[in-house]
Amino acid sequence: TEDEIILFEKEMNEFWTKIKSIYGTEQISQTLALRDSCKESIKALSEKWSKKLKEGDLMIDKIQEYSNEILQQSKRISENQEHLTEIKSNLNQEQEQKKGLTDSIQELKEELMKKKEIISSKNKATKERVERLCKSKVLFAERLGLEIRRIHNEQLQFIFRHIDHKDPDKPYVFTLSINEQGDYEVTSCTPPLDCIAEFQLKVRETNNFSAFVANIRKAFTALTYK
Amino acid sequence: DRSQPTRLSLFTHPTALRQELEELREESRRLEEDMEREDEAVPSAAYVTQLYYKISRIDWDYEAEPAQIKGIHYGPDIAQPIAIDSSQHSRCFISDYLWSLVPTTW
Repeated sequence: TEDEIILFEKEMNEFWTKIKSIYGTEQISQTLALRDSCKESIKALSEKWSKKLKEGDLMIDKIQEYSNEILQQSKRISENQEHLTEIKSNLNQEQEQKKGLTDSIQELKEELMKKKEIISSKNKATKERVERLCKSKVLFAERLGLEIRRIHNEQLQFIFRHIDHKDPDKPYVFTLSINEQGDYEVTSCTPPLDCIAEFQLKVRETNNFSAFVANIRKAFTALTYK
Repeated sequence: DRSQPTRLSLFTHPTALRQELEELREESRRLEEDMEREDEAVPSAAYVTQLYYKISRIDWDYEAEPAQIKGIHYGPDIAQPIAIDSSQHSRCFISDYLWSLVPTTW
């Protein structure tokens, strides 16, 4: 049976070698195939991840860029806010100034209005007074038949009418002034009166101006009797 | 509400406001000057009227009708009323009468 054993061993070896060669080869191919497919996978994954890493880097750059920009904008915003605060404060100042001016203007306007009212009523009163004075002058001139006028050289002219009943409008005139000594002085008399010098003396003595004028009129009247 | 600026004043430049203020002040000054000048107009008109009174001592009743000569003569002793219907007498008569009230004694 040694021969059997050797034959069996030979058959076993042959069988083992055959098995090995069949399965070994298959295994090797399989493993090789597996190895290759792993390699492929790894390669694909590597590429994928490499791409992702690149994208990640880009994003980081972008984020950095955006961060910078945000920083810049923040700076600008804060500058603008400062500027705005300044402008607001200037505006407030101006507003206050204007308010001050407007208030002053309002006050002045009210003051002016009051003044104008006062002036207007004063003017009215003055006008009424002057009217009254003029009316008074007219009444005196007409009723007394005496017109008093201021003429050149600060003289006064007295013009009598209604003296001559036959010619009421005929004027009888004398002119009066104050001389350097401060005395009354008759500078002219038309028609002339003899007594005028006497009257001048009397009025300087007594200062009775009313009698002075009344007497002159009486003298003028007396002329019409002749 | 004077504390709030009006919409108009918000847009008015301070310079314009200052100008307005200055103009108002100027106007005020001018008014003052005018007021002073006006005050001088009356004395001149009053002078002659006062002179008439000084001479005649007559005060007219200005409310009377124009044809009625009414007033008072203030003599040295007594005050005498005057009442003449001017339509009834000549101008000369009226003047002579009125002057007769004025004393000629020195």
